[in-house]
Amino acid sequence: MSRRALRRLPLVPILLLFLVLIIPAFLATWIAPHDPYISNLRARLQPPVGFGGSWDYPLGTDRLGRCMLSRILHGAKYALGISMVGIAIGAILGTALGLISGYLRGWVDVIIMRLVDITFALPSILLALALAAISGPSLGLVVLVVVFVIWGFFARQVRAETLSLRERDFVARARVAGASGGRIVLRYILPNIMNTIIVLATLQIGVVIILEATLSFLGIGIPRPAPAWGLLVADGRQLIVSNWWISLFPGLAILLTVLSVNLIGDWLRDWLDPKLRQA
Amino acid sequence: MTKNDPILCVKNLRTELALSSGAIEVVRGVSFSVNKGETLGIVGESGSGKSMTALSIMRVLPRPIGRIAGGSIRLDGRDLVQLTESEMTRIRGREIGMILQDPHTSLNPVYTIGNQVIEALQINQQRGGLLEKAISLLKKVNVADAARRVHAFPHQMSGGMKQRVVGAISIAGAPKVIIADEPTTALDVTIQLQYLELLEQIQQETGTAIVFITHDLGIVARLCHRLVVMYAGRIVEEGTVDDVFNAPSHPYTVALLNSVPHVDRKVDRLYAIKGNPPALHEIGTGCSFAPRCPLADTRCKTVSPPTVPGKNHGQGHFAACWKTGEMA
Repeated sequence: MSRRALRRLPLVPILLLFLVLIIPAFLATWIAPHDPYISNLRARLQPPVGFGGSWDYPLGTDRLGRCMLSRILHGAKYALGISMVGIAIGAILGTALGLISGYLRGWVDVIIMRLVDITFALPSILLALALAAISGPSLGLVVLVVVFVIWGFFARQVRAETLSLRERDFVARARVAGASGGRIVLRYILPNIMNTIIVLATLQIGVVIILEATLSFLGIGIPRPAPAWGLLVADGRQLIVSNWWISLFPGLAILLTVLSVNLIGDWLRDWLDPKLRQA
Repeated sequence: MTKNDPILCVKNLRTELALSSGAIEVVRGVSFSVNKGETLGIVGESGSGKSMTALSIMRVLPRPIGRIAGGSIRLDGRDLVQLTESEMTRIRGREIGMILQDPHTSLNPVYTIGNQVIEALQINQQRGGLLEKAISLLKKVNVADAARRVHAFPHQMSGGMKQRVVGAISIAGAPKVIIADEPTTALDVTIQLQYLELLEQIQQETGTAIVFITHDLGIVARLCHRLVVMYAGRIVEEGTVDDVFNAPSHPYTVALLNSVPHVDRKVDRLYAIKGNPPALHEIGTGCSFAPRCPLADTRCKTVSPPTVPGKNHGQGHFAACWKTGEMA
């Protein structure tokens, strides 16, 4: 990494991401002031510090007297876990199919690309509703929907780059040197599109966190009483006029995470693009 | 086996490209053979089908539009046209190697050159001490400071060095035939000569046959033993370098040789062949050079020319022309 790129490092987004998502996701058990599941009925609907509340509950409490700060800190686990697992599966699946599609072309290509079109055309929320109606809301279901929504982005992008790379001279040279199709895809095409995959995966984190929050908000995501951020926002919905903090702080966590992830993703894209790096 | 056994024998090769406007034949019945330890030049202008001939031999025609429509390509007696793709994968690199035109784009940018030479060795079933073998291969192609350069990435090397590495990769499998498709076109003139000397040296050490595709007649004279001249997908003349250069027997060859500038002759304007090569979908029944040929008559334009012995009746010297006998 050049010094110049280092200077342009998006420090504020990285700091925010650590504060809101990464540190809480790993250390919530130790840094949260209260147990996120234990209610204290004598301290119900406490406002946050500065709005008549006390430092016992810095961000106030919900209807059952549970500490909002602790719940948000523990909620980061779900946001991070689901986006990591979902994106990893979606990226691997999409990349594999994109490579096959772009390298083999022909009818395989047609079938895979029509599958992508279908997943883009199908409303993911509706699909989640249908699946939740069949099996009930669960963590696995959320991951499934996430994979369903994002694999197509990877497949399409990877296919496009594969189509251009397979015509390059060094691929032709590998072929005449006796490299098999599998070797060409894994050693000549995949390493050359790794940049794209990394950037795409980073930019998908924001999409996935919003999707997970949406599903949880609708009650078809992570089941209660887990403190997923979308669920926390949904919990405060009816009290938003009188007890605004219940929805506001988890909403803020979602906002800051998605914003900083997208800013980091933009920087990463610029940094990994050799054409922009020269400038 | 003696030196005069043909190792590669192409017979009546026909190659088609299926374009949206219909299939066109880019190689139209090409036959030639290469002996062990021999260098055969294939000369012709752009679009004459010389590269397509090479790609056909390697069976790496552009997919999905290219296909071999007929003929045979015998390597050591085995017909490559009949092989399956996976059998062909085992032939490439091990029995026929190929050097491509542009060294700057022929190497994978994400791996060190050592890594890529080692890969070529692995493809050819070599095991153990691969790094040492890679270094000795690089030394063989005159890469200076090979032990250090083996860890360099392609972008850290010059064009000439990269083309040497490509050469090292193509000889890693000790192929019986190397097809070099204009390997020096992208290099500096001084580096070109070094590279040609390197090819000669490799040939002397390994006894491999070389098919050298070029439009540079100077290189042919310098490097090749025999040459074939291609025009519009056909061979118009074939013979030893001496015969063809001293007694060109096809008007196209004559015109090509006249187009070469000479240091010792002062001319106002360099000779150029009038007109353009024909578009391959509008070739008629006659000789395809007839529209540009100063000697052409009605028969040339309507009836395909026969293959006749060259003017000086040198051994293996042939031209496809009605007018060879009339040429002064």
